[in-house]
Amino acid sequence: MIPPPPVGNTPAHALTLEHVDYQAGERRILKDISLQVASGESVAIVGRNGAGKSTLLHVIAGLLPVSRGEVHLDGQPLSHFTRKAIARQMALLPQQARIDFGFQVHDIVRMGRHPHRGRFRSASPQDEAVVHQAMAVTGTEFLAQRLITEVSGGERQLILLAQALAQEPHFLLLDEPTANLDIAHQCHVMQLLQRLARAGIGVMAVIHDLSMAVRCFPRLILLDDGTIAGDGAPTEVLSVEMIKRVFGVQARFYQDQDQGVPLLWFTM
Amino acid sequence: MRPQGVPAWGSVALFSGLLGVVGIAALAIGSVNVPFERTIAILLHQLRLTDEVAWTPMQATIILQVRCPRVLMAALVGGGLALSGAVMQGIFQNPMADPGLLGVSSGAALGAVLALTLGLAMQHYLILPGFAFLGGLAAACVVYGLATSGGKTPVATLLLSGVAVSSLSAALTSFMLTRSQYSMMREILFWLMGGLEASSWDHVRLTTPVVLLGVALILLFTRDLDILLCGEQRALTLGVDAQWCRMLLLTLATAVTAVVVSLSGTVGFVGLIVPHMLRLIVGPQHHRLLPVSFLGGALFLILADLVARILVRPQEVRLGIITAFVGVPFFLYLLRTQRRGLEPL
Repeated sequence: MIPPPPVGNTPAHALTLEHVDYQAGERRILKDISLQVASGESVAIVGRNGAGKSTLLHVIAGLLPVSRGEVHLDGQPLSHFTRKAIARQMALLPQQARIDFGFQVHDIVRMGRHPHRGRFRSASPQDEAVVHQAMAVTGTEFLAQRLITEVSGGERQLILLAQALAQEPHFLLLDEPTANLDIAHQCHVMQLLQRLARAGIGVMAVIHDLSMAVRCFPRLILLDDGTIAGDGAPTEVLSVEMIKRVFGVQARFYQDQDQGVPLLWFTM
Repeated sequence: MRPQGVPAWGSVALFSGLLGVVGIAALAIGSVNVPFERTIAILLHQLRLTDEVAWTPMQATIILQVRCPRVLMAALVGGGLALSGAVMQGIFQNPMADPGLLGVSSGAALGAVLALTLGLAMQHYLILPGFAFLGGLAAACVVYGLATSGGKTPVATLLLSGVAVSSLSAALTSFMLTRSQYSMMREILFWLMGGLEASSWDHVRLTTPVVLLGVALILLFTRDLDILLCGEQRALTLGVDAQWCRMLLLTLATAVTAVVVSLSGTVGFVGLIVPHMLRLIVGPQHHRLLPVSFLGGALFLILADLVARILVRPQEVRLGIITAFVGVPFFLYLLRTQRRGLEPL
């Protein structure tokens, strides 16, 4: 169901930020951010409310202009790309995506093909094949004929994920993809993101649930007041001292008996 | 329950057929009734498809010089308003949006009333619609200008500016109304209530290219309109330049509205109800909704104009009154059932 990992000769893709600042009015929201994410990586962005996590995603997606520095996509400055060209490489799933008009689910997912289609070209069989695969990967095929206004919140998130996948992006940016989802859908989405990364997509997700971030992502970027306070393996970045310093809460790590994964516990 | 299987061309063909039938009925029925087959014969003869002549010259004049331009104007005005309404609702993601939202209608009314009170309207048949058109466009420009700062036009500011400018235009219109002479007052009120009785072939020739060009350009952006409904951030990251696209479509819809309103006067609610009813039938996808809205709006206004002509024969009821009679109850129904559209943007 998932596309096979890219063959050896396919060039890997890279997103690079060099000394990026973002300023809104007088406030510097992002300060001197430098990082690199390659396709196939899976990165969680964590931090307090207002640390600049969503802003970082928006700057990477080209929704907000940098005030200093540069975002590079495969070595090219983002400003050299058209909107459609960016959309062929990157998909962003915003935080509160809602659609109030009764589109059929299938039509919603097909909109993901927009960056690959000319103004006068109707959807080709290849477009339809990609749409079908995106729905198969997200397990939303059975919803194809339903209206987007009549599915549950968890189903809607999967459908919007399918729409993003229909863009065939090299990078998938997600802003709190599991917020407001029940535990089953949270697990489903997380598993899906892991599989997508294995299939060669670069995944960057803003995650609020630190336990989830530690457990599901091999790399964490910790933002604190617009700067990168840590970037690396989860348990290295989120030390007990760091959690205390950045979030102001006391944390403890446990080792899961069966699977050996680290578990994070907070004292209230 | 929506028949999702209805193809775009199917509904377009259906509505075109209906439009043909209703159009011929609207030509035949009126203060003087002309039999259907005779109406069709007159039309065929005019198109040089038959040589037979089996009617009185008066009947031919009524059909060709009086009713034909009127029915065609009704179609253009209704189609233009309904299509613009569908576009506005898409752009603002708000089912309550209507073509007059940016002050076009009230601006056009102000322009028309100005032309009437200054006594210029008598000089040439284009002066009144010309003033109305300029008034509508001027109002829309003021609304854009007020709402834009630093190259950005927030939706909420745009809507509020539209309301404010509409109120101001309405106040100025009322002021001029109270200052005008009694005979003039009647004429102004007539224009404000909308009507198509003054339609001539000159009006049709003037309006057709503008409306059809606007409609054709808008139809190039149906997919972008669909994607705009996913929200601005998603639209941008799907490769749709949301701000540019919204501005272009607003400008086109506003221009079409200004042209038709300048010739018909204020005809309310067509742009609101027709797209709504049709969204229930063909769904929200704009490549279906927009063509069908144009045809449906044309159909609705031809029927409304027919009712206006024959309801209290031999007099006419104002067209705006008929559309409001249908429109207001529907609007209230929407208000009661679709609360979602009333949430803040």
